[in-house]
Amino acid sequence: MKKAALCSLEEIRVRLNRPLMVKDARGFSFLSREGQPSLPQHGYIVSQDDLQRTLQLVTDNSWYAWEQEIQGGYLTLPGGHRVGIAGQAVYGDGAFKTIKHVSSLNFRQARAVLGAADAIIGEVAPRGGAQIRSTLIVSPPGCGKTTLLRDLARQVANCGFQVVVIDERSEIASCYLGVPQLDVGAQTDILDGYAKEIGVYHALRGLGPQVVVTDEIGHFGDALILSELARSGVKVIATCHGESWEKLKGKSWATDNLAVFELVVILSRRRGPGTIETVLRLDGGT
Amino acid sequence: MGVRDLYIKGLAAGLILFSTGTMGLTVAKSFSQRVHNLRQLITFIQILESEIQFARTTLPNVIAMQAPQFSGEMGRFLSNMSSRLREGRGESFGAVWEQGLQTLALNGLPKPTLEDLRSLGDVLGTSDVTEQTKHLKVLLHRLEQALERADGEREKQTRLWQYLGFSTGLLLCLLLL
Repeated sequence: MKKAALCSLEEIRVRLNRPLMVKDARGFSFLSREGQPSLPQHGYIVSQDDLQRTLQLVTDNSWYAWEQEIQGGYLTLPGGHRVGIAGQAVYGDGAFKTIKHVSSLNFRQARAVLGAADAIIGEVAPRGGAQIRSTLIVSPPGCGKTTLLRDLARQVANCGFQVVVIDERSEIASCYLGVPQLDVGAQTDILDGYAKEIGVYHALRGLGPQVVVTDEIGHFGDALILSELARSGVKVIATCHGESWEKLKGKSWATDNLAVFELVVILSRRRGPGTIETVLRLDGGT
Repeated sequence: MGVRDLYIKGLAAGLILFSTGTMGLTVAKSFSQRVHNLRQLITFIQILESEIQFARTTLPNVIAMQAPQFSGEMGRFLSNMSSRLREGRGESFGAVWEQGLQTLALNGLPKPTLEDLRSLGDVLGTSDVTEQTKHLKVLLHRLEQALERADGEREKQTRLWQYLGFSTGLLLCLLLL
């Protein structure tokens, strides 16, 4: 396979005893032994040895070193790329412990889009970045919430604010061995893999943030986190699943929590991922 | 018999004694070397166990960190493995470990110990911390037993081979000259 074609891949799916599959902008296709697109029946069949050696490579021959990540179902590679793992679950003491008999690996290429937040940075950091508005980014899955959030963290940090990213699922900064693989700004501390409730207390006690950035809020426990941040005078930039502002407002979770936010950004895929549909000022104005 | 013949016989006797004595000393030294290698191996496995259990350090990193700390065969075993793992040729860890063991096998590790190490190569790095620790503890136990045996053997055999080397030399001198 040519390097240019390799670089354009979005996903590689390695499934035991099934044909090797890749995804690019045009969609999914199977690959032959020569690395050319092919019909499923002529695709390269992934052997047990292929899968085991791939697994050894992605874990640096050290499965034990990634236990926590494996419990989360994925590994992060240098460059921020992610490998999803499927196999048989092993439980111990009533809790999910690890995965055995791995049968599939899904490689997903990480891509930061620098400038993704250019269109809204003026609203999030008005008056030339002299202040910050707490912002909630809302969209259905796959519309570029995390991409926008990452670029907002970078731009806000570069405006001179002390930013803490609570990266519960390692998707914002994509840390590998503690080092962010994607640019989240020069003045940003990353709490990688922290649960939000722990991350918020660590941030407030030890890191003195002016802005806290986090992904995927929308649980009842988040009310405590958001009110704690508001009480401490810390601004929040967060994402949330939702199809529209009206539907989000109707959720019981929202009544207690949306008051924290001054700005809501609604995204869609109408003109591709990251299409900004609406920017709502909750303190008046649209 | 002339003085010249005496000189030649003396020289020949000296050469025979030197050769057989050196052979005896070399064999005797191999028993000490085996004990030394086993001690180094035990130290490495103990470090590996701690690094896996407490720091979750990856195998290539533990091996790269420890290679300069060991001398002789153990040092070469670790350095060779470290270089091959860093080259990233896509070889399995088991294959790299197996290749490395050939360095250790050159200098008289007991066969059962080599077999234990081969088995470890198949499982090292392939499971969680609890499993890895179990494998390493079993290996450590077996290595300590092997060390005890090798130490006992060294005490008996070292002196035996030293005497044997020189005695054989003397015997040859008496028979031949």
